[in-house]
Amino acid sequence: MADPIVLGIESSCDETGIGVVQGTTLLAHQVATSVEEHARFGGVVPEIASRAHLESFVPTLDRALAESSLELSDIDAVAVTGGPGLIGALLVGSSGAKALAWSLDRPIYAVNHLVAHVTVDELEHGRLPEPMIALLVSGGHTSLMRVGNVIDDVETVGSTLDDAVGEAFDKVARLLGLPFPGGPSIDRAAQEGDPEAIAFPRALTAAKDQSQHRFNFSFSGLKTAVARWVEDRQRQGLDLPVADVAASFQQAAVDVLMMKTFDACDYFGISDLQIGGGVAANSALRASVEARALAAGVSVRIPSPHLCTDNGAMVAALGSKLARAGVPPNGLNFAVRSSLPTSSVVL
Amino acid sequence: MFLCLDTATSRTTVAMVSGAGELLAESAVDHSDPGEVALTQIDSALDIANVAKSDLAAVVVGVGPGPYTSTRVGCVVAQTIGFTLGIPTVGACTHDAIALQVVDGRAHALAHGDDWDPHGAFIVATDARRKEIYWAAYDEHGSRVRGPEVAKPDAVVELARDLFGETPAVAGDGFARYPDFADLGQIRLVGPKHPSAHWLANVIGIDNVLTAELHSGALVDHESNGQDLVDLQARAFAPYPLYLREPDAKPAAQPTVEYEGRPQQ
Repeated sequence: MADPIVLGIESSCDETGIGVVQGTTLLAHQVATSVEEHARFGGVVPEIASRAHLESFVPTLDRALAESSLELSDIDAVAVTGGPGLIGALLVGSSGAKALAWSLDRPIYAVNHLVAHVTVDELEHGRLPEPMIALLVSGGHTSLMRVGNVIDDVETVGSTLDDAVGEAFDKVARLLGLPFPGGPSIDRAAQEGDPEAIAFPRALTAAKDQSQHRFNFSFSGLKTAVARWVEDRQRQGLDLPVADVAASFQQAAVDVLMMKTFDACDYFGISDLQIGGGVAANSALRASVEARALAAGVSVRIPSPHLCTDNGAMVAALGSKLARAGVPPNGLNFAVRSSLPTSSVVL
Repeated sequence: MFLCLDTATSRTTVAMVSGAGELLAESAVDHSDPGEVALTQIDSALDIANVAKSDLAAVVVGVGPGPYTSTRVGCVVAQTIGFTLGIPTVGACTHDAIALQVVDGRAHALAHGDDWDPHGAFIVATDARRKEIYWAAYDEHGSRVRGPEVAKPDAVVELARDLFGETPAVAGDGFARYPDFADLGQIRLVGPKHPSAHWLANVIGIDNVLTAELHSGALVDHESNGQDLVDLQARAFAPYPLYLREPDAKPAAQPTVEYEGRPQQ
């Protein structure tokens, strides 16, 4: 029997993504983003994101169907992000998904956004290695996971105690007068800078943090350290070396991410690593991971940037896996959850 | 056969109305998240009315004004059902629906000796949170003569009194959080507190649902000082919430110093 055709819907932040997957084959991948509408606010504004989701929902669905050359009746199951994410944004996607599933008389899966990020790589690089360590780095999340399998064995071993790493990039970009989103701006500015010019702190990497926070992250202090350094410079009436600050900040963030990720590989005795989320596109992170992986004998998989950022294909990919594994679907009355641990792959 | 849905108040209400205007099924659930209950209600309404999805000719949805998150749920559900089944989705102002219920309820109210002026104008007020109220004013026939708008309760009372020259009659649940106004005789509470979905179809007119020209919803225009944001003649709207407030967000402060070496954007 042919694998079921699963339509996946993502709306947890500022991207309305709709993808269609059959087995591990990507049939459609459409994303509408409201990122430009948030730019003048320096961060994602939930109400603006929610309004944009409603505006984009049906048009994106229409485009995804057109791209896949499928009829609505060809869809065998619907998958949607059930959490974690912005509640008002999640509600637009989940309610639309429920209406779609009801209209088509098809089952619906409400899935974990973070686990979907891990699963998407299967569409590009084939069957996921098991077990693996997965690092998810984005504007909303910084999570280190041990993945036995994505259907029912995902354990978050570490996460950020405060800001997500992408959020820190946004805030530092703002301090430096660079445009939102901060990730690409900092990355660009850092190309010209010296990553060792300023010694910014590497939080939770000291020996005393190892017992409680071996795999956890904190980026709030790093952002504050950059702010202080900038203020100090201004007080002294000196020029601000934007490129050096950007490069040094970026290196500090990447160092911590890499140290802890490879420490987790070592600790759990796992030699497969996958990195996802928007920050996975960062060039310093990519350079660092390659060097460390070679030294540690770890195989690394990173999806293409268009699959790293939030999208519906990743939700469809996880839905496809769940459907093929015979996992029972959700009903039409599930409640989305702004916080959802990775131990819950399905709501 | 029309599927009607309103999620713009704390009550999620769903109805099936025939092309002749006959009410075949209706349900109402008080729930903070319409996303959890709406589809189950819709499914039951079709069951009770013994109607197949393929019999539906249009979806009519209440576009508020109401809390945006819950109003959006109704809009996305209605739009998606419309798109998937290949039928039109039409919006109607939730306050207009309550107004028709008020007018319709008069005979009944009179028969029961309620304190209600059968010839009078009235306002419909619903909870806008943040200590404000969504309100619109109607003449004795249920035609909207002002609004919908958003304002503080005391401002609503004052505006309505100016408009009517007497103690305003109020339908809807807008003053439920502010009982003093009714207790002190500054307003008279009349009519239903919540919309019933089938009245949405009547707002547009049963015969017009499939052909109605859809007005675009309101977007805040600061120049107009919050007045007449919505076309008073408009009865059928595009299926998006009537946004009477701008999103809460202030543009990020840009650094006051022009830095040296700022890369070209």
